[in-house]
Amino acid sequence: MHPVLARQLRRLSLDRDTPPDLTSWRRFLERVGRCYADADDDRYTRERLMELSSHEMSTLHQQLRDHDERRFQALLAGSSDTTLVFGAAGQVEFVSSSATRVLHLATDELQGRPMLAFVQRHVHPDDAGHLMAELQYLLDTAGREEVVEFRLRRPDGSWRDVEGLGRNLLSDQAVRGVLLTLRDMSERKQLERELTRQAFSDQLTGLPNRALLHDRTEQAIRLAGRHGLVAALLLLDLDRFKEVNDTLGHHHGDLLLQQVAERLQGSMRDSDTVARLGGDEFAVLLPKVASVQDAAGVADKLSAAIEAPFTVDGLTLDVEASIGVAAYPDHGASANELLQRADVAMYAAKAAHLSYVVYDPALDRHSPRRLGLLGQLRRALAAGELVVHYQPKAEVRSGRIIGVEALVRWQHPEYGLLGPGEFVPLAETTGLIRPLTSYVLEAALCQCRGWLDAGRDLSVAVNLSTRCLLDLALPDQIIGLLEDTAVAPERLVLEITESSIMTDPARALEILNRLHALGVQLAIDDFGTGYSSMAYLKSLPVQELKVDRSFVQHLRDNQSDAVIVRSTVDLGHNLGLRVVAEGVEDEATLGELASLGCDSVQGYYLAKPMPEAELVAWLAAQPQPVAAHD
Amino acid sequence: MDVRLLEWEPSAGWSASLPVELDGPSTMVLAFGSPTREVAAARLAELAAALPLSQLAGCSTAGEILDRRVADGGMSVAVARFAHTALRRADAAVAAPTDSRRAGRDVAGALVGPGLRAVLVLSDGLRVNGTELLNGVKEVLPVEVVVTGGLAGDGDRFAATWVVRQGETTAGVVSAVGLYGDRIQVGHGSRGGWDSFGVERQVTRSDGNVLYELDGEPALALYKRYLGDRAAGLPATALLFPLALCADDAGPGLVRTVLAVDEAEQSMTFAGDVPQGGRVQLMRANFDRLVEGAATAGRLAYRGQDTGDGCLAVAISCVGRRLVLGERTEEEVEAVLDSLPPASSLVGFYSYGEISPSAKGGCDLHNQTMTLTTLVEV
Repeated sequence: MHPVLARQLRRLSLDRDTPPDLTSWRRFLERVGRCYADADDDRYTRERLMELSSHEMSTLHQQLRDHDERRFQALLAGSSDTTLVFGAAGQVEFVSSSATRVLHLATDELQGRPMLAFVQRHVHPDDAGHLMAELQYLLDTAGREEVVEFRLRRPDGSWRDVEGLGRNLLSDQAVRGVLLTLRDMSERKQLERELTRQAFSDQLTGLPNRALLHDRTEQAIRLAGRHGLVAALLLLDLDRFKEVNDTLGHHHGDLLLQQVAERLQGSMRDSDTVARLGGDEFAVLLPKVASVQDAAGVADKLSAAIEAPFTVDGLTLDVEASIGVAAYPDHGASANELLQRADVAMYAAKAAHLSYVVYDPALDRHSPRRLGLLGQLRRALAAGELVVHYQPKAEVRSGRIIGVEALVRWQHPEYGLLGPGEFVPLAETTGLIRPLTSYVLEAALCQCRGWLDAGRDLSVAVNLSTRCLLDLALPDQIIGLLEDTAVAPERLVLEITESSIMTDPARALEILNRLHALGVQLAIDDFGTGYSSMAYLKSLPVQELKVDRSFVQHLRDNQSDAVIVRSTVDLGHNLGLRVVAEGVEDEATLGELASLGCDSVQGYYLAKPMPEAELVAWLAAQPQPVAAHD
Repeated sequence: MDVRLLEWEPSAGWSASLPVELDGPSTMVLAFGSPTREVAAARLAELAAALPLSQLAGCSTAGEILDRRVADGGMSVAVARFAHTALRRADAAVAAPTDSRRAGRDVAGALVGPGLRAVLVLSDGLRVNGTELLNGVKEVLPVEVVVTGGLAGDGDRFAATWVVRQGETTAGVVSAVGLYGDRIQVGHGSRGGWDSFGVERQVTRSDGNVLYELDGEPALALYKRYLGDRAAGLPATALLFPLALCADDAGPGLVRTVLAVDEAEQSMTFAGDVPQGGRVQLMRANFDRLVEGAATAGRLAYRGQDTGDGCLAVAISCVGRRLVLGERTEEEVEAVLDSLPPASSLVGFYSYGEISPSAKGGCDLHNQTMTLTTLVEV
């Protein structure tokens, strides 16, 4: 019996086995009825409560979801990133609204469509394959994370750089797909490119710098090695740039360099690299040429391009270039090797006054020593290692010693006595030629003073390099030296070459005129090797022509040389100049020169250049010339 | 301790002759009844005449408990003569709920003194804010004094309650009996057995024990929606869904039961405070859990050795429980008795609020609980 029923019977003092009287029965029924009613009420209440409560719960749940969703959407919409989810089948299942704002992608155009369609339509064709492969890889590998960079088309057709961070969240029930977060990297990429450009380019000309040239040369060598090609490196140095800088100032120098850069670049193919290494030094990399000869052809072409006049701020400027050519595989197998070899060739070109020189191992035998000498020259000047030797010059008619030519020598502690050919061209490529020339001038004039004091009247000749000839300060410097030594200007002969005059004829003439006005004697050295115009020669204030030794040496067995010497003597005399022959090595030649009317001679037959002490002894041993009694 | 239980029924009168032999200053007479006020006054007069020296206390009910039975319209009486325990009675008037705290202070102040072990409080069930009443009591009494009791009931009518004062049935009164001495052992236990359900709601507007709005919606409308057809039975049917005050840093979780509704203001008055800004949850009953709760209250209230004489147990259970349990109400009374020693005597009533010590010390107003106090002299 149910405990409630049992209790009801007990409360009414009823017995389960005895039927109750009518009153008790009615009370019993009333209680049982209440019990049913209680149960009904309870069921009603319970059901209502369940219904309302579950409704409230689901409303609340929906509110929370809506709230979360709204917050989620607001976060995504406000983000500078675009979020995209694609499912296992490669369909785009979600795209945040920021896609429109940030990447200008229409979300409804993406939603539900295959990723492939998106990639084909919006991604740069060069990046599409790689991107699809990465996305497939992401899809195939649970938990995988990948960063992929690609370019997205902008509405205007240009490309933006985008970084995508992909995560495989297929097993995450909240996502069930690959989450791809896209970020516009254009500004950063642009900055990176700019920084790279700055790191690898020359600020003045915008050309690649040494670092980039080095990089590209290495690359070209690798490529050429693989395909059996020749890669050539041309090193180019402007011959007269320093004068421009010194005389016109750095502003004009910079403008000139910019124009040179433009002209070089304009002369080359796009695949070639034109770089500025610093100062007036440029380089051109030819990654693919058929042969070294082809590279030489390019050097020739470049040289011609540079030689055409430049106009800087209305001024016409002429510059020349010395170009060194070195090529892989013949001359080197690394960028450093090629640069070094091209450098050697360039110095050779400069020294030889050639527009270009192709590297030759023969150049190299002297190069390390020569380059070393250059570094030591300044020290040598200070240390007094440079000495001046004197070669006597005799008058043909009388046999009298009328003067000496001062010739500089380097008493090198390691290499012994070095001739001027070993270091003067080096000094000429640098500013050292000026102190060197000053040194020789001072030594020669001091010596001259000494001889005068000892009763010997000798003129002294000093060679002037191009740089010194064009040095506007030279006349004043010479005045100072002449005053200091109290030597009459007439006793000083300055020997200059035709080519150095022709470097800047107007300026040379101005300086020569000033020197002439002082009374200094001027001689054209190595006459006959240049191509000076006679008309111009006539206008020069010179007093002496020195016939080059190359003609004199073969005077007796080479008819054309004899013609040249005779013509020179005649020309000189017609212009009222003395004519001096150099390189006289035997008596027969001396006789021949005498018969041609040459005024003076110089050469080993007479005496080789010698130190001052030797010269004094030598002079003392000479018979007193006849002319002394004239 | 000598205990007699008596019952008065309209149809049968007193179940036994009144135990005049137990009369004395250490005799406590507890009378809980729900006949008309005049009938009740007549019965109380009979008790006072038979037991003139005894301390008579009692109140109106929403059902009387005696032994295993629950009845309506009669009176349940326990007469207990203590051998080693002194008694003192005090009362205070409460004209309005705002007087509650002062009344608490007054009765406690009248009883506080050396040897005070326990206080049984019986209060008007409609005019008193139980929370404030007990705040007043706690201000005066040391925490080790056990305070139990309840708020008088008025069936499911919520119209008028009374408390015995000077032998009279008086409205707007708080009455208390103090028990003194070191031989009296007082046990207590209080359990609900209700389950919270549904969403948590915020009390968006309340004033003390008057609740206006939950989550911005009139609380009465919410209750009516939940009650459906049974809204016709308001305010009694609101007892089906007591309000759980969610536990937070400010206090423990408590249960609040409805005392009245105001259709004009769409407000509901609860037996204790419903703080504005707090979070609440509706509760619902489960027969078995209510009965199990009552058994647990019994076990908690009597944890000592069985002396063989049993104990006097005063059961004060909430009218809300009765409303839910209906014909099965006696099951919870039986469950209480079954958890007490066999010779124990059980008297009590269905109330509008229960008073029992709280876990954190002092006492609290509880609702929807079975609250049991056991008295044993050793």
